[in-house]
Parts: sequence; C-alpha cells; structure tokens
Amino acid sequence: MLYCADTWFILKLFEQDAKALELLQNTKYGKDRIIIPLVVFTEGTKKLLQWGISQERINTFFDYIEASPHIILVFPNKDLATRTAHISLTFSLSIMDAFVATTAIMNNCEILLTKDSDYDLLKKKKYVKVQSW
Amino acid sequence: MNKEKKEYPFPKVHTFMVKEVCMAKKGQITIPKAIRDEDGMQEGDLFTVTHTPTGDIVFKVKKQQDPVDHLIKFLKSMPPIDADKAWQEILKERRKEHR
Repeated sequence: MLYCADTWFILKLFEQDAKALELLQNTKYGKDRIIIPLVVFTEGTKKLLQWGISQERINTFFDYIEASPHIILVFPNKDLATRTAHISLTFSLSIMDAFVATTAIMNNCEILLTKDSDYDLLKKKKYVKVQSW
Repeated sequence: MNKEKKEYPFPKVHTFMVKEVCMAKKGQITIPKAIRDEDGMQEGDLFTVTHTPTGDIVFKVKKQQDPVDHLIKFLKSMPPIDADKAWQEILKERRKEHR
C-alpha cells in the first residue's frame, strides 16, 4: 500500500501511537510505502519545535526517514505547484491542504493519512481516500 | 547535564548540492566525487533507485541495517507529545491562513 503522510501522521509518530508505529514497521519489509510532501516536513518541523522538540532531534528523525528505502520525501516541482493552485481553488482548500492532497494524487497514493474534514469534498469526488484513527 | 549518547550511524547534515551528470552508453551515470566523498560511498555500495509517478528518479544508499529499526527506537526514547492537541493547533493555523 502506498500512503501519503500529512503532518498528522508525523505527530502520531512522535506520540508513539501504536498504529502509526506499526505502519512504519511495515515499510521495513516494503509491505507499505510512505511518501511525505516537503511541506509536511516544514509544517511538522515548526510544530515540533513549538512543542519543545529540539532541532537536533527533528534532524535525526528526518535523516532516518530519508535513509529509509520505502519512505520518500517528495519535493514539489512546477507541475505539482500548478495543480496545487487548481485544487486549492476548485475545492476551497488552504494551500497547505492542497499541497498535501495534490502530492497524494500525483504520486498515485492509495491512502492519505490525515484527520481533516476539509478533505471531505475531495473524498466524495473520489480524488483521494483518507484514513485516520 | 550529561550528553545523551547518540546511536546514529548516518551522517547528520548533508550539503545541498546540484550537479550535472551525463549518462553513458548503457545507462551508467557517475555520482560526482564531492557527493561520494561527503557520504562515504565506496565501490560495491548498493542503491535503491525509485522512479516516481512525477518522473523523479531518487537514489538511496541501501544500508545493511534498516534505518526504520533505529527510527522506532529513537521515537520511543523521547517523551511522547499530545498529537491530537498539536494537530488541532495546526488545523487552526491552516484555516486562519486560508481566510
């Protein structure tokens, strides 16, 4: 299964949530794969700093993420940026929400890991499947 | 204050570099020396090559021990945060910026 992770999932990992850790474990064997939009990296870093996690620890976390063969940090390109603008307009999403959703859609992710009712219309139109717990 | 012992086998900070390389006859490319030296790459190292749906090609050095094991151990070494509370803060910020 190919997942796209919103910042929600990163926070769940830092909460040591059992299900989040299990999903992470599954990437070890390639059973699951996770892509992380670069904007999630930025937003996640900001929130973790606000919650008192040191930059050093955040760097360590993302270094391990980048070293994992089945977890990929996705950098935006012009095409993704353009489609993000359209999705933001069409579905009245914030730029951040739109970036995450567009990354999931353009990378053919089966599931978007997030807990945000703003994606309901995208879900309804079957652009993306959303999972949280 | 004691410095915590880091069990961290990978280089911590990488220099951001952009280099142009040319593909040879049978698809071989050469990873620039500056990158090889910084990351300690050697002949015989294995890589995974990922071709993404957006056309990006991502090379990752395949380490013998899966970094996910280190990552999970690292996450469990810290006090957990309240993810739901932090997420609610993020949702507020996203919606505020959108208005």
